[in-house]
Amino acid sequence: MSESLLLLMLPLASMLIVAVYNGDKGLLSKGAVAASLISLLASVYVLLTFNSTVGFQSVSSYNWIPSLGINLSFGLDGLSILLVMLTNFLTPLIILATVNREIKNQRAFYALIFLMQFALIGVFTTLDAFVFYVFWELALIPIYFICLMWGGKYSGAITLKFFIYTLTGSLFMLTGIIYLYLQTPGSHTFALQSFYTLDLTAQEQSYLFWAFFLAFAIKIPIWPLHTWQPDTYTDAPTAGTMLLSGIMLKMGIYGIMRWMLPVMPLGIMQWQNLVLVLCIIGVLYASCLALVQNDFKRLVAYASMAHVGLIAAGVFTTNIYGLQGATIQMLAHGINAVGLFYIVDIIQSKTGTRQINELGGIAHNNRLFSILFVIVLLGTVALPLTNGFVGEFLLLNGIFNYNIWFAAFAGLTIILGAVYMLRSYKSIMLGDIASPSSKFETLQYNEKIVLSVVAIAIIAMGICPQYFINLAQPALENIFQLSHLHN
Amino acid sequence: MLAEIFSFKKILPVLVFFGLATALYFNFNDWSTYHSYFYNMTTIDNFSIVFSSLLIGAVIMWLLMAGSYYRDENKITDHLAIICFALVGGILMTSYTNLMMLFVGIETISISMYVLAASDKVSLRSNEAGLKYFLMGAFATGLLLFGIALIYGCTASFDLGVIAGYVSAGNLPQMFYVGLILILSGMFFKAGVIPFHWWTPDVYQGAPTAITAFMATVVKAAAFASFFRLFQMSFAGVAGWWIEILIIVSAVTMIFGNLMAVSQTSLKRLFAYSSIAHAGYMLMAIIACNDMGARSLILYAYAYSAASIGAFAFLIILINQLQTDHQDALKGLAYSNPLLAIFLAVILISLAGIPPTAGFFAKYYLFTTLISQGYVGLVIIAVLSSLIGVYFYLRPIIFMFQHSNVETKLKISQSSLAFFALVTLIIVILGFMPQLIIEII
Repeated sequence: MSESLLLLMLPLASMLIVAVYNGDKGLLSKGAVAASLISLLASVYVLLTFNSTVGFQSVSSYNWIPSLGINLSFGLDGLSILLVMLTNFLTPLIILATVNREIKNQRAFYALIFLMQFALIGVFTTLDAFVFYVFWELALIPIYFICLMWGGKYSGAITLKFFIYTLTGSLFMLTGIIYLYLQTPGSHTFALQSFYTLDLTAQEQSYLFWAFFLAFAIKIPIWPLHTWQPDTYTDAPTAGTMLLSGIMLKMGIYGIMRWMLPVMPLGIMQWQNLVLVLCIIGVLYASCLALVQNDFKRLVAYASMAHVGLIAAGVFTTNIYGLQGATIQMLAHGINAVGLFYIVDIIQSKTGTRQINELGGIAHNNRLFSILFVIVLLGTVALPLTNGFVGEFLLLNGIFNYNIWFAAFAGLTIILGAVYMLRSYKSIMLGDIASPSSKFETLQYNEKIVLSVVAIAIIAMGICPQYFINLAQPALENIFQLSHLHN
Repeated sequence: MLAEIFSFKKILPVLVFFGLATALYFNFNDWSTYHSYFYNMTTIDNFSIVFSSLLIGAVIMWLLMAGSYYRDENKITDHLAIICFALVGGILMTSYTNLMMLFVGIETISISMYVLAASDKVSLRSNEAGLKYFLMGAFATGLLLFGIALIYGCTASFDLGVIAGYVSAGNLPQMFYVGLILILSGMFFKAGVIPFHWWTPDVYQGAPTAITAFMATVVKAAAFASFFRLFQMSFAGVAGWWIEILIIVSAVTMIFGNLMAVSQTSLKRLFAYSSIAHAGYMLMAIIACNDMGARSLILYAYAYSAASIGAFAFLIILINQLQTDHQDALKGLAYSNPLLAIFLAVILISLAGIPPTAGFFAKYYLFTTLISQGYVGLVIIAVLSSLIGVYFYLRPIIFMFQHSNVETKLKISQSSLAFFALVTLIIVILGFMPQLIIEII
C-alpha cells in the first residue's frame, strides 16, 4: 500500500471504529483524538520522506469502472502533501477543541468528522476527475449533517441553502468534467494527466471556465456567490465552522490550481480580469462588513471571507508569486481561522455571549488567554514574523505584478483587517470588566493545548516559511508552466 | 415460458417468493440465447432479461415489504394473484417484438392495476383512484391501439423488424406520422410524463400504499422498457422527427415534476411528483436511443426502483402507525429511530442523485450519454431541475435530523429494519459498483 492510500484510509478506519464503538463516553473522545493523531503522525512521516522534485509520487491506481475509464488513482505532489498535512494537523485540534463540550450523539459527531477528513484527503490526493468529483460531493454530506444536527435554531433553513448553493456549483462542474472526459482520445479517461494534454479551443475553454469556476467560487466563496457563508458559519457548531473555514474552502482554491489553471488556460486568460475584480470587491466588501459586526463569530466569518478572497485573487493572477502566496496563505488561513473560531467558542462558552459590546476586560481575568489571542490576531492581520504576513505579502506581490491598481485596492484589506481585529480585541479583552466577562475562568487543559499549538504554528510558519515554499515550488512551477503553455 | 411458472397460481407468499426466485433463475438461464416465442411475437434478448429481472426483483422486494402491510388482511390471496398477473404483463412489455404483444402486455398490467388501485373498498380515495386511473387509462389505451392500427395500415405488419425496414425505406405517408403520434401519446400516459401525467398524483395518493409502491417501480420500469424497445427497434429511422418532441416533453416533465413536488407536504404526493420528475430523466435515455442509452435506462430504472421501494416501505409503516403521511410526522425521527433515519436518508440522497449512491451514478451516466450525443442544453436543464429535486428531498432529512420538541416514535420490527438495510445495501453497492449493471449488456 502506497503512502497516499495509507493517508486516505486512516480516517476511514477511524470513522468505522468510532461508529461501532459502544462504551464509555470519556474514552470515546480521547480515542478520537488518538485516532486523529495517528493520521497526523502518518502524514508527518510521509512529509519527512517526501521528495518534492519528482512530481507525483507514491501513486497508486486501481480499476474502479474500467469500461468508463474511471480509476481510483491517488498520488502526492508538493501542493497536495501540504494540504493533506493541513487537514491532518487541524483535525486533531478540532476534535480536541470539542472534548469537554456538551455534545449529544458523540459517536455520530466524531464519525462524521472523520468522514469529512477522509473526503478532504481524497479531494487533495486523487488524480482522477471522477473520483475528485465523488470526494468533492462526499465532503458535503458530513458537514451538512454536522451543521444540521448540532447547529443553531435555524440550522434547517441555513444548511439547506448551503447545500443547494454548493451543489449547484458542483453539478455544473460535473457537466464540465463529463465534457472534458468526452474530449479525451480513445475510449475516454478521467485521468488528470490526459486532461492536461487536451487540445481545447478558446471557446470551449471559456464555457468550461464557468462550469468549473462556479463550483469553486461558491465553495471559496467569491463575491457575489458568498451569501450562504456568513449564516452557515455563524449557525454551525464550532467544529463545523472550523472544518468549513479551516479546510473545506481550501478545496475550492486547490481545485482551481489543480483542475482549472492547467486545463483551461485560455479560459482563464479571457476572464481573469473580471474574476480578479470580483475577488477584490469581495475582499473589500467582506472587510467593510466585518467592521460593523457586533456578533464576534460573524465578524470572524466575514474576516475569513476577506482573506480567502485575496487568496483566490492571487491564484487567478496565475503568476508564480500569486501561486506561492496562495499556497502559504491557505495553510496560514487554515490555522488562523481555526484559532479564531475557537477563541470565539471559548468566549461564548465561558461568558454566555459573543456580542462584542457586551464583553470587555477579559484580559484582566486571564493573562494566558489574552496572550494567545494576541498571537492569533497578529497572524490574522499579517504582522511580520507571523504566518499571515508571508502569505499576504506574496499574494499582494503577485497581484502587483498583474496590475498595480488591483494591488492597491486589495492591499486595503491589511489596513481594514487590522482595524476590525484590533478594535474587537480592544473591546472584548481590554477596558473595564463587563458583567458577562467576569464569569471568564481559567482555561481548561484542552483549550490551552489547542491555542498554544495554533500560536506556535503561527510563529513557526512566520519565521521559516521557506520550508513550505520549497516543498510546493516544483508542483507550483509545473502548474505555472502548464497554464502558460499556450501563450 | 415465464407465464407457465405463474400459472400454478401459488397462493402463499412464501410459495410466490420461491416461484419468483425460480423465475429469476430461469430468466438468467436464457442469457445471450436470443430465443423467440409465440411465432416471433416475443424475443428474449439481454435487454429484456435485464429488465424482466428488474421487474421480478422488484416484485420480490415488494413481497418482502408488503408482508407487513397485509398482515391483518385477508385479501392477500387475490392481491398476490393479480400482482403476479401484472408481472406477466410487465415481462411481456420488456420482451415483445410485435405490437400486438406490446398491447397485450400493457393491457395485462393496466387492468391489474385498475383493480388494485381501487382495492381498498371502504376508502373513498381508493375508489376515486381506481376510477380515475381506469377512465384515463382506457382513453390512453384507445390512443395507443388506434396508433398501432394506423401503423399497421401503412406497414401491413405488427412485427417490429418489418416496421423498422419500412421506416428505413423512406417515403412515409402522413398516416404513419399520425400513428406514431398516437402511439407516443399512449406511451406518455403509461410512463406518466407530461402532458399525460394528471392521473399520477391522485392515483398515487389514493391507492393503497403498497399498490402505489408497485406502480412506482414495476409499472414504471415496464413502461419505460417497452417505450425504449419500441422506439429503438422500430422508429430509430425517423428519430429526427420524434426526438424533438421527446426533448421538449422530457425537459418540461422534469422541471414541472420537481417544481410541483416542492410545495407538497404529503409525502405520498411528494413521491408521486418525484416519480413524474424521474420519468422525465428516464425519457432522456430514450432520446439517446442507442446501446449507451439502453444501459443508462437500465441503471436508472434499477437505482430508482430500489430507492422508491424503500421510500414506500417507509410510508407504509408511517401511515400504518400514525395514520398520516404529512412531513411533520418525521420530526425528530433520527433521535428516536436512528438506524431507520439513516437508511431513509440514504434512500432520499440516492433519489436526489448525490454521490456515492446509485442515484448519483445513474444520473451521471445518463448525462454522459446525452452529452456524448451533443444534447448539452437538455443536460443543463436536467442539472438545474435536479437541484430543485435536492431541495425537496432534503426537507424530510431536515425534519428527521433537526432537534425538535416532538419526537416521532415508530415501532419497527427487526425484519423491516433488515429490509431497509437490504435496500440501502443495494443502493450503496450500485453506487460503488455500477459496472454490475452497465457492463452486463
